[in-house]
Amino acid sequence: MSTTVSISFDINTPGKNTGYLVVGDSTNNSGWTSHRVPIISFKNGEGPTVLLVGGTHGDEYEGQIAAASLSRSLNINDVTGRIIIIPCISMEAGRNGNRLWNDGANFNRVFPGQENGAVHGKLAHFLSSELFPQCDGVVDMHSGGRSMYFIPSSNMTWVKDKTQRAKLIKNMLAWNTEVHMIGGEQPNTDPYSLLNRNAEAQGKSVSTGEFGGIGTTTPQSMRIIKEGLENFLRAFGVLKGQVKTRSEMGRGALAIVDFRDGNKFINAPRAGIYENLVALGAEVKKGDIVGQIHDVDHPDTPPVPVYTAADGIVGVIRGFPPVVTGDCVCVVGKKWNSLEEIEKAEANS
Amino acid sequence: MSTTVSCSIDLDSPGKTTGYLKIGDSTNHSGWATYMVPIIKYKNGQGPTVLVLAGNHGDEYEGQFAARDLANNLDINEVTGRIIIIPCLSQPAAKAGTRLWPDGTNFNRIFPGNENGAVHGKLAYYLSTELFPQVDAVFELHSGGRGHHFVPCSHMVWSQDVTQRKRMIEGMKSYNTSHHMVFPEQPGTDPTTLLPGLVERLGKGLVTTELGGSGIATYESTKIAKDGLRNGLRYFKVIKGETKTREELGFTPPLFLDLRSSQSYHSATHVGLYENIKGAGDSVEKGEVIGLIHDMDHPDTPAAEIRAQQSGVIGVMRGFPRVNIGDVVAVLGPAYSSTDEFPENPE
Repeated sequence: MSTTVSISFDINTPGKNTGYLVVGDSTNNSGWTSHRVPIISFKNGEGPTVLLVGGTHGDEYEGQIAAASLSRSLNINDVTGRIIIIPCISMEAGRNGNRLWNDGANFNRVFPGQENGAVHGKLAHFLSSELFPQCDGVVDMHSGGRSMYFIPSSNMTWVKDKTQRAKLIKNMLAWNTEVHMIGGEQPNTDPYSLLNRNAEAQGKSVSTGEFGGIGTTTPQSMRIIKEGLENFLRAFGVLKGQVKTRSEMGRGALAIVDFRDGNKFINAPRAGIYENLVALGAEVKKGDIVGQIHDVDHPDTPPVPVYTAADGIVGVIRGFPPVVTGDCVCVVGKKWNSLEEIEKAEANS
Repeated sequence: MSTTVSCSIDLDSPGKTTGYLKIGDSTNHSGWATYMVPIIKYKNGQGPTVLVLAGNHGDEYEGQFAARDLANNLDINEVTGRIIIIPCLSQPAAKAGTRLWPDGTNFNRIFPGNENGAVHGKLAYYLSTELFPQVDAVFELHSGGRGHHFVPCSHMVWSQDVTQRKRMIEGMKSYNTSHHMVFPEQPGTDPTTLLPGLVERLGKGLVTTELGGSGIATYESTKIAKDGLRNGLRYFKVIKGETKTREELGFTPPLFLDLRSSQSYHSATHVGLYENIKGAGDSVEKGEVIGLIHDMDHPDTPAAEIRAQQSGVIGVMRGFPRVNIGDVVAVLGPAYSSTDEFPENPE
């Protein structure tokens, strides 16, 4: 129970309702202000409750636009259960075109939040203590941000708990994106400080994705996320209508890009301006050059090549070209053609 | 003659030489600093002098990569004449990933520069008074920047001087992009404050580009930048080898977008989050919705529609989605197979 965040309407009311999460705040220019985050609920008939969150990172716009579009276009009669939509949880970061909040907080590292903390801490606390508990499903839509460019895709963390993993797999596949991605835990990070992992730890059925990148949207990336979201909601049983197969959605054969090995993340070995020398989706072999870093101060210094240490598919390329040592510039994943292949490899290892 | 910028190398000496433009500067952390801009020169045999410039806007990277590729990999024996390369004019902006210099200066609005001004003013003055007079042609490579995303193209402003216009059309075509775009002069702007606007009026060969956008560069857009630059340099006969047309390379013939009409430019009518409904390269009909502006603060407010003011092909879509009223969100216009088909005066 949060005493520092309230909702301006009752999200248990049938029908469509729109309003705000109202968060107590006090700023230099407004001593007694309330930070407002738009929230929309649709409730009709019987069925599960699903929470859709966009804008966890402010400069990832596909999810924000898909959520805002759905909240305007969804017909209440098509809902069976309850859909709660927060188009942009990090409003100030979204407004400024930043990944992070103005104080540098990464909303995806502040869970389970802090009831009497900063606005983002209060919001995270409200989500984890009030919203997640009343949901069956939680969807967190990302899209790379300014620095990275993903093949638009739904993804999942390959968790150890097999029951939980089965839910994540089912949800990931329902988006029918051209590829899906699986990742491991980020090193040196408390996994439960992430929004999706916090929901998962509460036993919720979670789905996530990275639907593009570079802090922009294109008609193509928007089509992929909107079509995928609709299919996911149908598969989850909260939206009426026929679930579509990959071929019905015009997609090719299933492909899963696996980032679980640490050596699939390629980091800049030095500072400079990074040039992508491979295209998204390209197939590369261990030792191939994926990019080069230019020393723009020294015209005689040749560019420093950047290599992949793994075979696979280029799932992520660099967006923002200026890099410092250690920045991620490319992610190469092993390609699987079915889940059975992954399970089999796991059984043999 | 500039007294505040010098070049550390002799631009007339034969062979390949690299060095710096050195500009007197004085900063909070370095009272007697020299601001250094890398410059590379190739000279071999007889032929014209061509100046290759990139990084006029810091967050436009394809041209910077193409210029550096040339500086790193061009064989001096391929050269017939002289090529002078400045891979990045606005170094502080490029390093920060911004369009403008840290003091807010747009390098493309300060020509002919100021000999005793800020570093950018001194640099512009040196280009105007020392470099431009000694060159036959200039390549000026842009790519949209954070706010916009172009179909990678070479482009031009529709010069009023018919001889110059013809020279620019041929130069534009030599870049072999799938689209070529023709723009009007920007309203409310002295055209000679722009780098290419000044070069145009000096009667030089001139090729300008917009090779992508959104403040990033992909492998594909960078390849277009590099390949086009090589072909363009062959067209100006400063590197050896035959120039090729798109058709000779097995590509589709180019489309020429006429963006001269004031109806070409589409601006945001509201503050909000802009969604490209139609993308760069798409054909649209007059009246069709090409974009939506979402009011993220008010969930009950319907998205504002941006409709095509004329039929045509979208040359430029929005990059950075957050918009203010008046921000350009799309540029579109009729497509032709040649500039010869352009009407005398656009609608």
